Amino acid sequence: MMHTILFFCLAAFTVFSAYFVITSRHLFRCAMGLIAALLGVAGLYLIIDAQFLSAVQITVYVGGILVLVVFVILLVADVTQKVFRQGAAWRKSVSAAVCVLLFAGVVFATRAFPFPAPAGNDLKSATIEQIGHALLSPGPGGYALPFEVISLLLIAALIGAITIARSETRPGGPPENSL
Amino acid sequence: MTGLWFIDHLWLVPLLPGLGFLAVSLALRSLAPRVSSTVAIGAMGLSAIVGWGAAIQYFGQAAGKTLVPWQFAWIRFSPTLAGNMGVLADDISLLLVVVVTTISFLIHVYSQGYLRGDAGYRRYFAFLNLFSFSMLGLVLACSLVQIFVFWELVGVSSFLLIGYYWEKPSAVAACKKAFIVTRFADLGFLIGLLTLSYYAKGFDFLYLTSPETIQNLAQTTIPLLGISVLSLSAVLIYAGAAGKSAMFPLHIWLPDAMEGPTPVSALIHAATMVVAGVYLVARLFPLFAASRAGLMTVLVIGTFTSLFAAVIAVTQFDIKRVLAFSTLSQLGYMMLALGVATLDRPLGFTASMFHLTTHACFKALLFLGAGSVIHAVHTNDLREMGGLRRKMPITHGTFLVACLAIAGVPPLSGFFSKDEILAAAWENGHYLVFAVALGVAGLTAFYMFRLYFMAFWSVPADPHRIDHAHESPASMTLALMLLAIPTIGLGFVPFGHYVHRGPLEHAGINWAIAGPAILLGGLGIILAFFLYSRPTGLPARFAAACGDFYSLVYHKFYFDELYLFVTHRIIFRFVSSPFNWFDRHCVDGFMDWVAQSTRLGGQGLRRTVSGQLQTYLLWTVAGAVILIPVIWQMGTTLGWVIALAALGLVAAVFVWQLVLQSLNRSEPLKRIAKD
Amino acid sequence: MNGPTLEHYLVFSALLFCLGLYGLLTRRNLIAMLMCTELVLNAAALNFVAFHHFLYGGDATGPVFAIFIIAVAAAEAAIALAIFIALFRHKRQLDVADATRLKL
Repeated sequence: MMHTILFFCLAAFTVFSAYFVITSRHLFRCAMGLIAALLGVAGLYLIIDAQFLSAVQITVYVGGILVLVVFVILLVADVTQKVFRQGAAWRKSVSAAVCVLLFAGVVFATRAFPFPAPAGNDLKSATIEQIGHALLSPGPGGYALPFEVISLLLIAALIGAITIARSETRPGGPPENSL
Repeated sequence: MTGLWFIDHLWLVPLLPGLGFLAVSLALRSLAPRVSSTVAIGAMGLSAIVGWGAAIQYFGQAAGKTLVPWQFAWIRFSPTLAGNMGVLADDISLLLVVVVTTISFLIHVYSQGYLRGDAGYRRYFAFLNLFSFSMLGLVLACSLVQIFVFWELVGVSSFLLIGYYWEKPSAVAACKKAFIVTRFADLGFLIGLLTLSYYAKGFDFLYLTSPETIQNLAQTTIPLLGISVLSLSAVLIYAGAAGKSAMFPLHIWLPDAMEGPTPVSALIHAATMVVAGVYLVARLFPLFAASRAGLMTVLVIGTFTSLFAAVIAVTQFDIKRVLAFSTLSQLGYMMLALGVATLDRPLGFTASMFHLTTHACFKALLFLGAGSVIHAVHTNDLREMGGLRRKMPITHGTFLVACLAIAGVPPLSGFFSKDEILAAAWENGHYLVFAVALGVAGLTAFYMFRLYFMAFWSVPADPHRIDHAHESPASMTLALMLLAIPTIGLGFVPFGHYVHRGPLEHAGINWAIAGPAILLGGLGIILAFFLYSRPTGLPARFAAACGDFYSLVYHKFYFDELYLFVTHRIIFRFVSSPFNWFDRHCVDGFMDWVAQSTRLGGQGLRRTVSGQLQTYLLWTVAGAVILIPVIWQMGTTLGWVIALAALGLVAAVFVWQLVLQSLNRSEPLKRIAKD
Repeated sequence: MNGPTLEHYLVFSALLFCLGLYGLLTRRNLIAMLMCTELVLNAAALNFVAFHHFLYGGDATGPVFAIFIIAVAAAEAAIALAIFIALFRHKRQLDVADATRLKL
């Protein structure tokens, strides 16, 4: 019972925030909406018994990525600017139609697919130890290789981001747009 | 195959000039011009040697037989029907081989002197060799297919050689005219050929001229037309022969063909190519003889042409034109002779072939002599020539011999051959034809000696023109002298012994026929002497007295103008122009439309790569959305319906964009561009 | 009902996904598009965890993949923002309809 109520509350909260993300003209409000949506998802992780993941979501996603996004927004966009031309009407309606169709299709597929019934009501999810073991153990069932690859990816992203965003060097004098 | 070396290697005869053509035109371009002419002359000489050898071997050891020492199936239509190419040796083909190779060789030698220093020297000798190759291939043809192929090749060579002075518009017009007229005639030839071989189920001459085949063809009638296959194809094939031999009304190209160099006129338009038509009729003689319609056609057209041309020749002032009309007239004689011959009284056949041979010799001699004269005085006009007999003795002597021969004065060759034709006409009961031929003989003597006297005896309009005239170089006079020998002596060869069809008739001189002929000839010569050997005003006064009739004849009965009228006013306007319009607008238009729509299509599709990220994304998602139910319902009709509907939608969008693109009013694109 | 079933979570994540997709297709600002992308990624991660919770209890694949998704999202966001900054320097705006150099 509690689960259900919590689920619907969190879901509603998330969807409401998502609405802000996709329709707000204010870029900052967009970012705030996204933070709220991500917090909502973190809450959903909690009730689905993935506590570690919930913590990771809040720490990394909200506290890292979103903060970065907010920084960049503050840097490059005039947050008080309200005049953002929106897309053409036909684009909006067609996109809406396509997304609705997609949603309907997935829902339909979900209801039609015979998922095996869960063994019990209160399943145990993986504990943090199990997740840790899985992440770091090589061999079948272990994800050590993807782990290493992702660390490589992160280094590459780091170097790439610095390279791309570096201000262009001009002969003599500080760059025009100091970052 | 036959054990006779020259006959077995008879294929060398056309091959050698063919190789000469290839060598001169492709390989010898950078060397001196004399090398080209030497190679060409050498090829021709070797070919002549093989030809003579074959003739000697044939007439000595295999006379009367028809041999096919070599042939191969060039096109195979079915296991039983093939168009063969090869070499056929019998009396008339080897006769023609000897004539063509010898005269061609002499003309090659003559041309060395005539065209010395000319810019197109190499081209000329290449084409001369090409012509010899084509003509010899025609003469040695063993099937209708082969003769048709070489027939056209000869036409092409003639075209190339008439148009040798291609910078002169008149020469270009003349070569076009020759080719088009003969090509047009060849349409009849082709239809006749196809009809004949369709019903006979074969192309080879040996097969077609056998009595069983002819019997079969004579009895088969063509469903729609009600005449026998034999007659129809004979008449149609004769159309082709008439075109090539310049019979009325397809004679218009031959006088104009004199635009080519004089040796070309001598070789092609006097001695060899124009007799191809006569040769074709002779080759198919059994067919023609069995068809009354065919024989009648040959006879009537031949007779009329000989008279027609002789009358016109009397009025012409260009030395080569007179000789051209004379050729027409003599060709008419040859056709006439073939027309009076029948299977049981084939004297006309022998007479025709005999006259072909003698005519080749003395007409070539006449042309080469004319060339020599033209070379000396630099004009073709008879009125500007005169008194050349003291200045050019060799030319004069040989020219006189040739004129006497063509006038039928005994004991030169022309007398014997003409007499045989007259005898054949009389003995087969064609009295009207005989009378006409007799009249033409008289006219011939008259206009030939008119030419002779005007050129060699009289005084030119401008006396100083001949001051620098001198005899031609040895390369030219040698050919003249060599040709004079057969002109004099050929009459004494027992021709009928060698060349005949059917029963061997020996016509001794029937003085009842020969007498009047000689008389008329003599009268013609005397009349010409009185009118033309000195500058009198008599010819001019006589012409003025005839007034309109003279004008009509002088303008060749306005046939050239008639043809031009028909082609320009009628054919160009009502046939060619619509076709041209159709070609330009419909055919080209269709091609342009294809290219244009491809281009527009490309441009339209290009617009889809707009660089707009969100558009790409939208298409991707839309595609996924459509694919989900399709895959889900794969195999059922609903799945197909959705898939086709989706494809149709996509195609419709693209087509819509294309249309708008081509109309250049694409609003959505402009809006997208502004987004 | 005994609490939300698997279908509930799947439907919800599909909803989140489609909302994010709609934003991706509609928003003109590049940073807004990035944020919508984050929504989409989150929906996918939620999907993983939901399956893990309801169907594959002992196997830790679900959360592990969700962690991977977060890591990749971080890398991607960093690069994307770097590109946006570089773009902003040239064009003084971040309009997706302007960034059309890659066309025919």
